[in-house]
Amino acid sequence: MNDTGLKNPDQLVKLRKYENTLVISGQAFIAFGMWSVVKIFLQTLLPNPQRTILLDGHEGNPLYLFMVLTIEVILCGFDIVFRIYIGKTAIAIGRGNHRKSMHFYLFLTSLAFLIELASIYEYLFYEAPLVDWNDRIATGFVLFSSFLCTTDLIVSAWKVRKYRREVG
Amino acid sequence: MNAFQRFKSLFIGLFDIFLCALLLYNPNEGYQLVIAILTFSLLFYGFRLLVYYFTMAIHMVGGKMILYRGTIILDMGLLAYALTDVPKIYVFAYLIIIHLFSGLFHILEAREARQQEAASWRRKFFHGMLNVILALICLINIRNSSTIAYIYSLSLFTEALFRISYAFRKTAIIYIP
Amino acid sequence: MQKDFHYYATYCAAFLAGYTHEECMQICYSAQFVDCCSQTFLENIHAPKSAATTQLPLELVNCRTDLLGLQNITRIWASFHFLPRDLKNPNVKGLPRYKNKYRLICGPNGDLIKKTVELAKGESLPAVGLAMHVLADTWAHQYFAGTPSLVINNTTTHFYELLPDGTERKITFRHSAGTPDDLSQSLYTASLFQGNENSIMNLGHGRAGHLPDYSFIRYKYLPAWGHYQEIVKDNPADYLHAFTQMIYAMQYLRGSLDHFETDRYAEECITGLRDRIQSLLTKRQLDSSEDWRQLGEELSGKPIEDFSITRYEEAYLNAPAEEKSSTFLGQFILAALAQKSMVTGQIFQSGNHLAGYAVDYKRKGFRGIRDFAKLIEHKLEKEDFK
Repeated sequence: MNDTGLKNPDQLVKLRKYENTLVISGQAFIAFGMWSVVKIFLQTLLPNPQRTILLDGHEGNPLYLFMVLTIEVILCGFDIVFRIYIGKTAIAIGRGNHRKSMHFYLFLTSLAFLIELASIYEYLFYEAPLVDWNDRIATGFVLFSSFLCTTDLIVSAWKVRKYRREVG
Repeated sequence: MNAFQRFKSLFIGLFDIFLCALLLYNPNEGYQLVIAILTFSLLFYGFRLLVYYFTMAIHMVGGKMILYRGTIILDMGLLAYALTDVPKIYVFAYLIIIHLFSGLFHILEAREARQQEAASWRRKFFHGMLNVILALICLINIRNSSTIAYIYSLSLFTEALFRISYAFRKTAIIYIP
Repeated sequence: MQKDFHYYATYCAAFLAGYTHEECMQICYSAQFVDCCSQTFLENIHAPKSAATTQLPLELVNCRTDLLGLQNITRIWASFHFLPRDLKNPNVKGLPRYKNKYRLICGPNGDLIKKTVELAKGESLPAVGLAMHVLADTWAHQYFAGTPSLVINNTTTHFYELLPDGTERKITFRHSAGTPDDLSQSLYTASLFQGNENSIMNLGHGRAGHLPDYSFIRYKYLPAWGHYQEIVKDNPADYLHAFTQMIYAMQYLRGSLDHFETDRYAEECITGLRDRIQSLLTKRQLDSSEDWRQLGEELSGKPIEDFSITRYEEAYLNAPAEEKSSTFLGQFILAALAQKSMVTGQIFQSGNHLAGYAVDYKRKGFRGIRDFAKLIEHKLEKEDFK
């Protein structure tokens, strides 16, 4: 709909739309990632049922806790770097500043999508006995929001690639 | 800012001082009121943003930002609600992290304002840095609930001072006729 | 638009339409005065505040943005600076709240501009000038709405200047009071992004800075309401249309023509001047006042006085109460009340309450803001309400 009477080619309009969505979902992807990392650290440092299972009877052992923390730091580090890379690349692609091929990026976003699916599977079938319903609803909402953001990101990335080829 | 906005800023600033005093007087119980207020304000704001997105901003170029903003704020509100029946330390940790994010957000705003050559960037940057520093000090002392109660009430107090100063600030706007 | 077009270009258009130099001076003064007649000014001369045709930055800062405040803002800006093109536009999807804002988008050649020009027929010269201001702004300010709205008036960073040599240059906006726009680097001042739907920063074309008011510039951007369709704004072409349409409208108001139709332009009146006007419009400068003034003085052979906001103040203040409406400012005030009343009524009748409520005097008698009683008295004197 354009009251000016000007008709932009349909592919160009869709390309702009998905580029814009890619920029926004890239930013949101980074934000959701930061939040997840903070949650993991809180769960490890502070008393809670998941921590009990994680430490597996070694609560009084500082070395064990240190090892668990170190592994968590490394994994979280990877997660942060992973998310920031995907998010920033999405933003760069959306703004037309990304000069390299999109293949590697699309592979990583597909991986992120699968990881999100796995998190949802774990939430639906494994987490229930560990937490009360307040936590469950809250965690579920965050998880599904993050999943939708990742879906948006991957769909936009594929659409941008498609329409850029069509527009030339 | 118009008169009503100034009054609102002043009122919230004074209310923050009241919460700060409550925390200092009774750190063991005061935090529950703080988290309750934070929960409801985040839930309400997040929900309002989502309603705005689905009724209006869904038609706007770049409107999806409002959807994500509303979702993240609603998430924070729900998580805050989930903390109402957990140990105090969790609650304080959550409050501190909100404060930390708020500080980071002010710093990002300052960066954008500086890029646009707006004079307000220094104030926003100082505000953001103060929030971040106080939040980090709280996090370092997280296991000592009395200490963090006092430090957190200090950060509430500085936040209150900023709000009150905004209420009396001269507003210079760029308006394009 | 700025003083260069509202004052000097309107003078030129009025002269080409056949008015005398003295009449042109009144018309162009009135056209420019629409940008100056604020509530503060009216309070100083003890005139009805409802006749305000603009709001100063300080007034906007202190303006309420609750329902009544927003209605007041919309009444002023939609009536005089962002006249809606199509209040019943069927091509918009969404809830009524969104549709109402969308339908306030300004544009030329709508029903309302026809009504605006016809409203000035048989009225005073200040009324003619006021109508010309509104007409000119429908060209410059098109695609923006005269109501605070993020979802209509917002813009993105997708803003490119189309340069005369055929290349494009990205436009950068900054929020820096007092720093003039830098044409050589496409660096312009605009209002800061505010996420609040009803923020004053989202009123009119603030998010696009002064770009709509520069006659030389061509640019493309994505309007918030456009669903990612890019709009190319060709200001030189639009300003030329505005100029020739003003001549046509003033020919009608002078009595040379029987009807006023939209999308008609007095091209024949600028036959010998087209190239000069084109080069004037496309000259890259922030203010074209001097060039338009020169053209106007050449046309009439008489000097054009500088605009001064206080020119007619004393006459209004010194006039006895029963004769105030006959003074220049008194006539302007009546014209402003009539325009505001008409536009608010049309918006209300279309089912849109963003400009507030309007009451049909003939059916329900006088209700509402007392200032408009002056307008009713004037219309009764003219026997318009028989």
